[in-house]
Amino acid sequence: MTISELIKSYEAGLQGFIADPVADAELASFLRESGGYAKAGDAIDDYSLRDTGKDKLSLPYLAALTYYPGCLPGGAQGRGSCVAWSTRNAALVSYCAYLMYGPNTEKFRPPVVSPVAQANGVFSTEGIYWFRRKPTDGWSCSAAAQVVVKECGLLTRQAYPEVGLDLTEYSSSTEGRWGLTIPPENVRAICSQHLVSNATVAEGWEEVRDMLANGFALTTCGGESFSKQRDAFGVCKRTPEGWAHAMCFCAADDRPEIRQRYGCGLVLLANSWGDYLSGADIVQGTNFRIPVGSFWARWEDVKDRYCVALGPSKGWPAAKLPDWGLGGVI
Amino acid sequence: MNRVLIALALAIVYAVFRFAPIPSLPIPTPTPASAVAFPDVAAVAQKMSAGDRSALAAAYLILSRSVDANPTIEPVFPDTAAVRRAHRAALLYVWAAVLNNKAGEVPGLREALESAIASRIGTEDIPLNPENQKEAAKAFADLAASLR
Repeated sequence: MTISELIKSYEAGLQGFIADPVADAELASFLRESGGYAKAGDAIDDYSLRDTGKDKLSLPYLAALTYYPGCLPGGAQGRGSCVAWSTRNAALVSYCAYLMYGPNTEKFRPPVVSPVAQANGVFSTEGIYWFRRKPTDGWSCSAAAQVVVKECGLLTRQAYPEVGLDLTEYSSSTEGRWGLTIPPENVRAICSQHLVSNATVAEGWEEVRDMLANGFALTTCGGESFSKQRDAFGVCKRTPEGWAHAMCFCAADDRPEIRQRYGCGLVLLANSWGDYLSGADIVQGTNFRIPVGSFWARWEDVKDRYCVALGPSKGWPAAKLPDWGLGGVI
Repeated sequence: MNRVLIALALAIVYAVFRFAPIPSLPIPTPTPASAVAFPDVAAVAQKMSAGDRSALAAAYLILSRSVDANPTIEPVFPDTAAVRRAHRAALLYVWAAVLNNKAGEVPGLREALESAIASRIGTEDIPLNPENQKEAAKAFADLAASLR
């Protein structure tokens, strides 16, 4: 499926995102029972994060692009698997932001991947999608969030000869290899090695903004559609068609001058349709570029989306340095 | 801005070691507290000439400032492995090319420096974040002071 065919499919009614109130309730229940936070507001209060993103520009996606230049959007989805893509992108950004800005007390490191793997988003979307538990496309953000916390987190794009899989490059057919049934035990064991540590549901601008300001990217589901042309400031206008689609929130702009211009803050949506957008891609007032295929949207245009913030995943242990480099030198 | 600072620091390394007489390096006087940060290094430094000590101290100060100015976005030093590479390159240049010394010329110096850095920055290849970046910059500054 080409990108233009994919977009046409969404505009013709393809349901990549399917609302699932039962899954939403199950996620909330699971988070409460596992000692986490069902609501981001509670985590924000407990950790004194309230208003930490107020009046600020927060760009956690830059951490991912620093470790893995060009890793976003990681190609383009080849079927109605946007929920897995949005979830992967959020998990990727959250993990990298934790390494770069967080305490990283576990001394995790970014895994080394091949250039092809990097261009395909570093981590697999396929693994997440295998756990949707149905044969057809379309899924919900809450169900996918449960999967990355419990069953398949960050799965490095590489060959896994021991289970006969090669995930180095994205493949929509591999993405559909399992669905109605989940993968066999040996594949599940690989999938579960780097689970996302926690997730929480964010509601309202302040919660979304503050989560992003603290390095927690969000996987979001909704029905809004947007123009394919960014304006001079990188913003896309909402359009009437509607997409049943998942996209990752990977930055927030709450600077007073931005709020004044747009009447509200902006969020950066990392889409999974490849390089399909034209127009300005520089973050206003900075030299930073937004990822390929991403765009800013007014919060008022996306405020009804269901948003799950993802925490950092269980990472890769630090490698040992041979020494501090003075052998044969001094 | 940080990139400019790093470029400036590297230019200073080149200019200072390539053209300036080493004894006239403008090295700040260390505080008594930082002078004893690495007593083993300070003890070995007593066996070195004043010129060698000054040159090494200057290299460590420049490393300290470079690491401290490491930009958060698109960092020059994304991890401790990158700091290690810069450390090795800087000392190789100063010790061999500028001072014309050989490896092992000062017994115990390599071990004392390795041990000092490992004690503060560690021996693992981990990403630099604001906290360990500050710690690495301070460790190099303390080494400079200990060498004086």
